[in-house]
Amino acid sequence: MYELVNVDKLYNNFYYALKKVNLKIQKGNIVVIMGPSGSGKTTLLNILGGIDRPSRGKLLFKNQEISNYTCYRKDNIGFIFQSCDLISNLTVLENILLSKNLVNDYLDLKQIIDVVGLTKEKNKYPYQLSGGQKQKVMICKALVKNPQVILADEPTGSLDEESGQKIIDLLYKISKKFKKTLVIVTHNPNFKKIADVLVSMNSGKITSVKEVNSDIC
Amino acid sequence: MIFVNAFKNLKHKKITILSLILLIFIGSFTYTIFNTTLDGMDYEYKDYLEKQNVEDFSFIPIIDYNKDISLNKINSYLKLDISKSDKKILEKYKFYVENKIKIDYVFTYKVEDILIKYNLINDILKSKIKGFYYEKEPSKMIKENKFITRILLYDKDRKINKPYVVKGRLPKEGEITVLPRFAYLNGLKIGDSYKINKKSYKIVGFSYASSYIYPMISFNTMFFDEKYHNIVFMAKSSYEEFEGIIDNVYVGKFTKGKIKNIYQDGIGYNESTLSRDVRINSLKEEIKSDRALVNVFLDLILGITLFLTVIIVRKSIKDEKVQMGVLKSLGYSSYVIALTYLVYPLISVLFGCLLGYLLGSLFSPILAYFFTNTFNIPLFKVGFNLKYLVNLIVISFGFIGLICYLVSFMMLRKKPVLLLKENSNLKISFFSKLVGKILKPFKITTRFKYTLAFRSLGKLITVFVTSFLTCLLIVLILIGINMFKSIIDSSFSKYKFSYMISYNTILNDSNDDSDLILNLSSNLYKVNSKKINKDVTLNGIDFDSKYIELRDKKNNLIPKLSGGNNVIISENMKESLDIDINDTLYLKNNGVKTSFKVVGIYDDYVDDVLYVDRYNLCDVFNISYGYNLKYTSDNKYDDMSNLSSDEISRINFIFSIDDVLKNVKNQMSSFMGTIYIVVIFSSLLVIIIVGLIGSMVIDDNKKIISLLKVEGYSDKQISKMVLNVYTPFIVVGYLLAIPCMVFMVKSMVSSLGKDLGFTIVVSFSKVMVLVGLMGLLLGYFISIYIAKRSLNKISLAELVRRD
Repeated sequence: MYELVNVDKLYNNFYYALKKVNLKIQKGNIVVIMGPSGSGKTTLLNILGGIDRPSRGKLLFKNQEISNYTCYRKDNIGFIFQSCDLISNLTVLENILLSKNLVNDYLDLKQIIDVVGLTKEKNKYPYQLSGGQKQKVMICKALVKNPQVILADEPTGSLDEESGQKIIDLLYKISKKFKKTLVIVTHNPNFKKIADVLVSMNSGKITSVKEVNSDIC
Repeated sequence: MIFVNAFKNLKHKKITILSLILLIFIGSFTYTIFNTTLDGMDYEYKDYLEKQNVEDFSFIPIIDYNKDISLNKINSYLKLDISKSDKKILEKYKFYVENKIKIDYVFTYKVEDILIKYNLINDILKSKIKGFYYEKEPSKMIKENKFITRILLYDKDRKINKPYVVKGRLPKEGEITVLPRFAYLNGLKIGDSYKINKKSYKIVGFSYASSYIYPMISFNTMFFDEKYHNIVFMAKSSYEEFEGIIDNVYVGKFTKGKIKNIYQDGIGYNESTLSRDVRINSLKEEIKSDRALVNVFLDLILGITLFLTVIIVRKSIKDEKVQMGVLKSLGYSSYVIALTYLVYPLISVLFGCLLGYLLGSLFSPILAYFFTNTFNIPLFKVGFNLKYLVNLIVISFGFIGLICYLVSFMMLRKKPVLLLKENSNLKISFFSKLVGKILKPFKITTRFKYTLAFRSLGKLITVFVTSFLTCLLIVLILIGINMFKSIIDSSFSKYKFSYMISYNTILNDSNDDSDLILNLSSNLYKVNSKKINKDVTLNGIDFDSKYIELRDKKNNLIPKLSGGNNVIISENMKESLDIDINDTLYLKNNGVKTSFKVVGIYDDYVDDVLYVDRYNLCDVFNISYGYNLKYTSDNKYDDMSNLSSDEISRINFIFSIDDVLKNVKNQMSSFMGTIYIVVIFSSLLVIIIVGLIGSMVIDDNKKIISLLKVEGYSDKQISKMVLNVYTPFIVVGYLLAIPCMVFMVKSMVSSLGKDLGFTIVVSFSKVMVLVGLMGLLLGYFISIYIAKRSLNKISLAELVRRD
């Protein structure tokens, strides 16, 4: 699905956030990217999501370079951010509808809400939700567009262990049920349990890429 | 340390701070330049009036020839060395007085001519004058094509209206002084020879006539044209030889405090005396009106700056509320934290006021020079005066700083936990929820758009009020541009004659191809039952007059008067005195009272002239049939050297329509210059304010814009859903601003018009509405575009990470 070829990301002409990154991501996999703070995990995720551009190298999606990033994000990507950025003047349902509005080939809203477990909260406003509930809304927003890939940046970062575990289980469930490629950037070691591929990063480089049952690097 | 942090944060709000500094700079510059100049001018003006002993009033003697001159006096006049023809007139006069025969109005002019000629008026005035001393001020006027010259007799023994020498000296025989600006524009120097009425004189100096501060040379050219209008001083014999239209008035100075009713038994007025008010007092009115205009402008700028500063402070507090919560948790009080937000008004006031003060003071000599070209007073010193800077800083910072501090303090009063709580940031207003419920049947993008707009009612009101204030300025600009053009068009289109000649005596009817008019001053003392006291001019015209065509506001011809006590008044009189058709006007002249019924209102916003039937006018006021005003197209009146001495001696003034129109247009162009300066300043303000609104909209919705972009919404879709959400409110603000500003300007010009004596038309057409709206929306979308470009420079990744 994805191929990163010798990707560099340079800031201010001297700081390498990513250095010669080469990575392939297969369709349907759950890829977990881990590493210390400042290792370039989020930068890598942003490049995959088309909200940042590589300074050097290529990003191929389905063996092609991306020409229109807005359409690429609209049709193929669902984002889940740590900061749970919801539109405060819309209800849960309306927040999800705003994402659904973008595409023609969307998933069944009721089904998603049921699977995620937000049926009782659908008419509430974001300020009335807990952290875990907001994260669930983010997941619904990402999923309803029926994207090829769901990118999650620290989805359990601001949650307690119990809520975090629920989110991990939910992400695994929707990935398998809806057959979505999932790329997760996290510090949470509990994500290792659901990973198909484990990518380790340090100082802007990929140090290892490990399939769950085999060691590649 | 928190203060240091507050200053450091300013670098993230460069555009905002620069906009505030610019707003305050505009206000400070205007305040400094005008107040420096007006204060200097006011001081110089008062000093000048005192040093040159400028008259308190001027008058013409009014003598009751039936009573005021005794037989003994007439006999003593007959013994003087006077001409045969003059003796004949005096003998006839003696006969009338002896036999107590009522003396004809026309005949009194002949007697008056003799009394003035042999300087016998003083004798009669002595018994009538109390409370002031006076002098005769002889002058003559000559028109030679474009050049109009007023010649004043220089008499070193005169105490009132002493001439002011700018350069050189006052004249002897065969010499003259001229106005310095006239000399400069016509390339004249001291020592040059200058010709007036075919005779050459040597220029020995540049001087001002102190009673011609605004040098209105004559009534036919109300506005001073510095290139073609001149005031000349001549010594006695040169003056007496000179042939020009004689204008002898008397000038007075009060001895024991001001007399309320100067014009009473024995002393009266004419056009020359009435023009005194314009010549001497118009500078006072100019200073007063300029100060009023500047104060209004400054109040507006201060209001706008205050409003915008408060918005910026509120937004900063909302953006930083978590940090403020942390500070409060650490133990900082709300009083201290609120002080840190004074950094916005402090920086903008300090820099804006200082810059405005420096440049205002630096440029004030230019404004002073401009004023002394228009008004003939000595050039006065202007310069740096710290009191203006202190006033600016104290008023601006005191006012804006205090309000900002109070607003900050009120917002920071909450408990630290409430400030720290993230949820409180997301809470939406009741209105937003209500709008969401109402719009439930609509598309999600529509619901999103309008719930976003109503998310914060305060924010919506802010945008609405800011755009309303901006729109007030736009409307003011458009009204100003159109204002004076409409006066000229409505006032001069009706004149079909080329010249108006006013005579100093009533002449018997002549058979030439002119319109003959009897022009009388009168006092309007009542309108219906309402008491009034206003001096007006009556024009008695003939039924078959060919030059006078009076049209109403709808351009319909008003039927000519033919007998009867009917009168046609002007729109100016209608507006200023609230008179309408069928009202009765009560007038008196020379002790005789009469009434006229209003039968028509002609479209003129300058004149106070009442038109009546000429023969009827003679009858009601007991005057023998004649005229003292003529409308003609005979070109001989363009150059007085074409006229005989006899005719010149009878003429008061010649009014050339071409000259007047050129004169008014010249003056209007300098008025328009002032308007354009106001337009430029107002446009700058509009740009700043609209720019701020645009940048506020982007700033407020930065996060939402980023999220929508990340989702995959295109720029066009985002503009429609987020950036254009305030457009309807801006349009509504504009539409409301139009009637408000039109009302404000109309009130202002109505009050100004009462002082100046004419009405200024204020109109705002549909075309102007559209032009203003297009300008406003263009400015708004350009500022959004510029703000968006700065947003696009920051990567999406950084935006979505920002809190």
